[in-house]
Amino acid sequence: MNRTFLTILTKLALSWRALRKNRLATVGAYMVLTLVMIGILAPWLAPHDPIEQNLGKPRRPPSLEYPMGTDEFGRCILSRILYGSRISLTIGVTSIGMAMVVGVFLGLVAGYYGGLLDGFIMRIVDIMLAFPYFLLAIAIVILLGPGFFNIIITIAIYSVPTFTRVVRGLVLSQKQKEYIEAAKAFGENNSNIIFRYLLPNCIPSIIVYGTLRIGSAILVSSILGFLGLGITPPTPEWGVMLSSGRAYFRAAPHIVFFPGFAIMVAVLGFNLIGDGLRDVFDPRLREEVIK
Amino acid sequence: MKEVLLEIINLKTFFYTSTGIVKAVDGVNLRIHKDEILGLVGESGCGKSMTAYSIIRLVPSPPGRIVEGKVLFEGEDLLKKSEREMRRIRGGKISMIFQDPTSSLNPVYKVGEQIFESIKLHQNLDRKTIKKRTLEMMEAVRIPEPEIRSEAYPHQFSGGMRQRVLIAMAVSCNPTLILADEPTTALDVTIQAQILELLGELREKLRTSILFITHDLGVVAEICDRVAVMYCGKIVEYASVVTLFKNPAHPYTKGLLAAVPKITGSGGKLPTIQGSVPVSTDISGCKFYSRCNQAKDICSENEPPSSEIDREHIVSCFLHN
Repeated sequence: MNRTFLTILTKLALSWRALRKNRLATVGAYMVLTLVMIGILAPWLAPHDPIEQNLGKPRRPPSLEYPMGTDEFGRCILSRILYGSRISLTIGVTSIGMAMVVGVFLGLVAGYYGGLLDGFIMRIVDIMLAFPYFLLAIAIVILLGPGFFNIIITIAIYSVPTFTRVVRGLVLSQKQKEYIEAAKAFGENNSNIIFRYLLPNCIPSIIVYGTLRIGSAILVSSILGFLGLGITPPTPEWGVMLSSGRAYFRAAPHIVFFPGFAIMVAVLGFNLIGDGLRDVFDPRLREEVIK
Repeated sequence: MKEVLLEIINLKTFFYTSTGIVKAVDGVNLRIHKDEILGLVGESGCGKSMTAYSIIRLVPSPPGRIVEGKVLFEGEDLLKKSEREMRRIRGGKISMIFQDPTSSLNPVYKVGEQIFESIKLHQNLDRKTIKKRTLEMMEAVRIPEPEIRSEAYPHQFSGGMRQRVLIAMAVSCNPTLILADEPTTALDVTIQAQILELLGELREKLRTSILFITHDLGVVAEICDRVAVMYCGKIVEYASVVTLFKNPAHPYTKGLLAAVPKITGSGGKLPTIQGSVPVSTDISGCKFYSRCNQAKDICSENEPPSSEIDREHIVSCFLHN
């Protein structure tokens, strides 16, 4: 038990060290970590209730009482941004997580078996990719209706095809490798070859791609919010905040500046970390002491 | 007379490509006896590897397909087995060692886990016993400090050590036949000698038969009992090692033997076989006709039948008909 715990600690430390080698990735990791901490600690950090309106103090510029000012209903923008990170992170991670599970599975199956099954899966993927990205998301969300859970489903559906395509490509190149042949010669069955040989060897690229997609998922959820199709007010969602502040852009630019900045930090953070993770997950690049 | 373990009868494996049918294996007849090492030699692309792949039915398909023939292993035709039965045989009774040990191991698992897995697949044992057997196998292929080395990843091993791991995986389930597809080609000469010695030793210990595919006649002389020479998908000569080296009958075999550099040689140019392996998918007559220095008219018209010129010495050539 103690030994296992130590091994996990060592692995985490080594992964962290590998990530640290890439400066930009470190910056990205700190950005994401900060957002996660903010999300967790929001109730303690937020100076005000994020939903409570104070109609007597609308559109106040940043002050000591309201560090980021107030919006048109007199709500504390700082508090709303702090709570908003919970929503954005949850949407980003869960929607991409769901898309990853489905997309990776379809990609593995299509790439490994080939033939008719491959043709069938990939044609559906092609059809989905043939729609302009955003129109597809809007169409799905209109079909499902707005709401927190529906936004997650929408982004998940919208992200599945690209995952499938990426993973299928990875599988096609891994499939040619001699160790797959060797696995067959040792009598491994298909599901073992897919999940014990192909999947682990594709994981590094999948993780990198997934992390990059989390950034874009956050962006999509904000855009949907901005268009009034996403999370419904008064929930503090960054895109919704950006949208509602748009009308007062000249008079009170802080209402749009801070949510916009938060979106940028989140998207940039995930993109930077995605690139750095590639090194961490590749066992060949990992420095590791035997024993 | 030793018992026959594997008998291949008129095996044909063709590849259906856009440019025509490539006859990779074209009517091969071959016998491997119990605990003997049969060498299968020939130039690149003559169908040696495809013969091995056909035995365990791993011909890349499409475009390849086993068209006809029989592969009798312990009296049963492997070509008639279901895929499920074949999976039990692969890595169980028949296992394979590959040419390139660098790419034949799964890069993301520790070597110990990979040997463990190959044992688990075919033997119904509890984890502790498998673990113990894994370390025993590593010991058997002389990997020093098995406990420590089993925790290493393949990229932390040298080429020779990786080949030992693959051999450990191949012999871990006590196979009766090992198909060794150029197991020493990717290794340097000193390591090659060690691996050959190891294979010879394991053969003695486990009483396994080995089909040893190679293009290195020196290696054949060192460990094989019998040799089959392959050319363009056909076995052109089959004999015991001593007979083949002392008394080669087919012009192709003679050419191959002449092309081996000798330490006692007096220098000068090394003889070669003129021309190269024909790419054409369909040639009438003897496939070696265009390169043979003793060719006669009949060779271009008819295919030479195989004839037994001596006991256990079979050759397909009109010179000996």
